[in-house]
Amino acid sequence: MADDTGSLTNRSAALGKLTDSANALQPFLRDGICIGLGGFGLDRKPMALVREIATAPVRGLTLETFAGGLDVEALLASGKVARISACHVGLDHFGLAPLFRTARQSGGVEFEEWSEWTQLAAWRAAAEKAPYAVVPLDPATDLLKVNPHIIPAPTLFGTAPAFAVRAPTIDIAILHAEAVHPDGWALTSGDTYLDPILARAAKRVVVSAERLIDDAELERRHRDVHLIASAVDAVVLAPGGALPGSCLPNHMLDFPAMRRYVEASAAGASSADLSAIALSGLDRAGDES
Amino acid sequence: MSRADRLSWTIARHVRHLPAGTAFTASSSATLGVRLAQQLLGCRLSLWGHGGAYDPAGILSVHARPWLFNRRPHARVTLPGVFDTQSEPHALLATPAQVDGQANANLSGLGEAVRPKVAFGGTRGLPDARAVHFVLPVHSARQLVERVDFVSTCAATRDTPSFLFTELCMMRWSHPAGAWELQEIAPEIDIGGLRARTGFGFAISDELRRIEEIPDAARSLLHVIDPLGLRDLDFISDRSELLDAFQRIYEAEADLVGRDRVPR
Repeated sequence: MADDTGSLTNRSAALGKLTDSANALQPFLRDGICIGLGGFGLDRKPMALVREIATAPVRGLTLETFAGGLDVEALLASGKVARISACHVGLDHFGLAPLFRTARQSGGVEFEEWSEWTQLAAWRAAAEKAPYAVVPLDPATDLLKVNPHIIPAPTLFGTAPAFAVRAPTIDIAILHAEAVHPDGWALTSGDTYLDPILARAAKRVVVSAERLIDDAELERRHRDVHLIASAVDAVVLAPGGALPGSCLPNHMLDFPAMRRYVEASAAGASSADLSAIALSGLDRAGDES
Repeated sequence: MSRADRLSWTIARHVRHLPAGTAFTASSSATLGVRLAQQLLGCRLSLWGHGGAYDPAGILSVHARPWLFNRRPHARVTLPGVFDTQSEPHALLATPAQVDGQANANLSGLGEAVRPKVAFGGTRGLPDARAVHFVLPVHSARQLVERVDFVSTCAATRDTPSFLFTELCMMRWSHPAGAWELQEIAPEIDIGGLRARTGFGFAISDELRRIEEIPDAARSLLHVIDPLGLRDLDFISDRSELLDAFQRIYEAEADLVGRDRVPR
């Protein structure tokens, strides 16, 4: 698009931060690092980027996610996870997440349990480079017994009880967007969920997207920008990169695949088989860069 | 009349009195109850609108069926915004795995917390809400237990006395009694029968009433705002039957919003 300055037009020809998922992630993956997973439940989960991590030679990962779904399941199936920090992991109306459940029940993976607000506050603290945040919380909750990173805060003002939540260290955040500009501006016309906070909280941010946009569309849809370019380190084109989950408003979830996952789990399928279903949508979509 | 219709109406009759603010619902019955209360009873609660099962373009987000009815949300509230609104009057209509006689709710697991015998998904927002009410559509001693193993939240800590809605009754937490108090009971069961199907003891209100049948106006409206019958899903427990029902709804919704939105 021609504009008065020409600067946007000139830059649109450049690749910007566009790369492929291997180059975006592999050089930065290490044993024991913390991966932040964007999206919510079964919507806008970065499954194409998850697959890249699932095949990487790393171990002992911590997963930090607000509402985990098949992303957590696929990484559990890969055997690379030591710890999950979340307020919930499940398959929404498809029921409980079977591999997450097994991992908790076997004690094979540590589960650091949060409430939604405490985890949100902890992420906000990390985004603001603060060591902790203070939030109200039901003082009777057993989260105070099981999560050492939620503790009563000193009463500095007033008498109401408050709780301090420690900011996590998130090494890499992986997110999926409806569209992204090569410079890193990411768009969604659906719910942003906690992606903007997670992006600012993490040291490195990789965004996959259904499609690329140019300067003209960025200008036209600037109100839909939910991730600013300065917060994004790498951009990966991955149409269908959230499958078998949805990427609203682009596409609904893949119901047959979800049904296969639930029924295979109930029939006693192996982790490898479940992982294959969880990542199956990517075989027909995939990384196009 | 279906069980779901009556439950939605029971919820509507009681949430109508909650102060204006936001409502976050975790079951079809609860969502419909708020919608009925909004449209028929002057309720001023706004449902969490934007992240619901219908996105702004009306596309089904099957991941979030409890919010299926927010096609025309009253307010555009993103997920983080839900928490920002909690400094205002707010009502969480939650569906935990278990509720006990001390108003504790469990969404974490059974047995030891570190290595549970049965793991659920996690506590979610139960301890966060300023007012929390429980909707357990199917009344069962399996979910209404004497004592939970993990306290995700204790509703008795809230100033606003919590409601407990099931298909068979409405109870309300009594701060003075330190117990759930039965205030309404379904016509098809007596108190002895209800006790037999409840894992905890409860008090009985001096003004105990029968649950009202849903009036024609509310039933007609339910068919308009829930044409696919999502409210009945709350009462399907068999996995295959539930998946079949979801699949029917998914296909119908795909026809509505356009087949180009279905992954190929």
